Amino acid sequence: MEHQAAPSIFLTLQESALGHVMRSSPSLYPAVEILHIIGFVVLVGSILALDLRLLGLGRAIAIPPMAQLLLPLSRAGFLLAISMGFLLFSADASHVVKNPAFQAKLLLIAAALANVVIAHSGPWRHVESWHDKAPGAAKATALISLVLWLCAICAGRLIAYL
Amino acid sequence: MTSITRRLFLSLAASLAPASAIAHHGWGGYDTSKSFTVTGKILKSAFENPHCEIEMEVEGKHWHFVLAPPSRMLARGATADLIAPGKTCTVFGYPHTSKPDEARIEYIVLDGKRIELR
Repeated sequence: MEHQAAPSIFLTLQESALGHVMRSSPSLYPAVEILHIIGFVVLVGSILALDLRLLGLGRAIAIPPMAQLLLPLSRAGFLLAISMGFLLFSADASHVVKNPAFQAKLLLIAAALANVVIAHSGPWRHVESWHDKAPGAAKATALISLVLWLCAICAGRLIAYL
Repeated sequence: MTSITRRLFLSLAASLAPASAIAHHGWGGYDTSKSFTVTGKILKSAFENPHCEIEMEVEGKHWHFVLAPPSRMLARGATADLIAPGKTCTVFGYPHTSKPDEARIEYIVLDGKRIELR
């Protein structure tokens, strides 16, 4: 795998005290993996439910109170997933950064976050006037969101296999 | 399952299948039809997450042997000092399908004691 030197910042991270303890502690690494999984389960699970509601499923549930419950869950899940992900990354940063599945995952997450900004600076500003049916623009961002986050999970799992 | 859900599920499963054929971790990337047993002196060892590794020179060939995660190694009695450089070790494992110097180890024999790693 060592055909090309990784940028030194990743090598520095890997050789830091953090990287060292992540590699050497038998129980820390699996514990962080579990928290990473809980983080993205909460993140993608809450996003999936809200996106499906916007796309027309579960019409009996009003959108604003549903969003009031699910969006904070998404944010909390994201913060947990990304912070635990950083810890896992530190254990083997110089190799993982060159992994095509990891690179794809970062791009997918960046695209998904850009989609969040677009959705909430656009159609979501008028959520109170939707009358239980999301407009086309909101549906489009919901569909994009659903696909991007699910693809991010796939790419993440494939890091270990590529 | 409704037939459309089943069809979706099956097509998804089919599209993901090739990934297992090129697996690095797990066992999919290793050729179980070419299992081998060798004994040698450990040159380098890393008792680290996500997998412990040892390097050995056997009949002029330099091998990287991928073992289990540290937590499983400890649970099965394979402590860091047992796989330290200089120790003699017997390994039974499978060569990687595309990396000629890497193999995944199913069990090791240390001081006459067999330790399962799978």
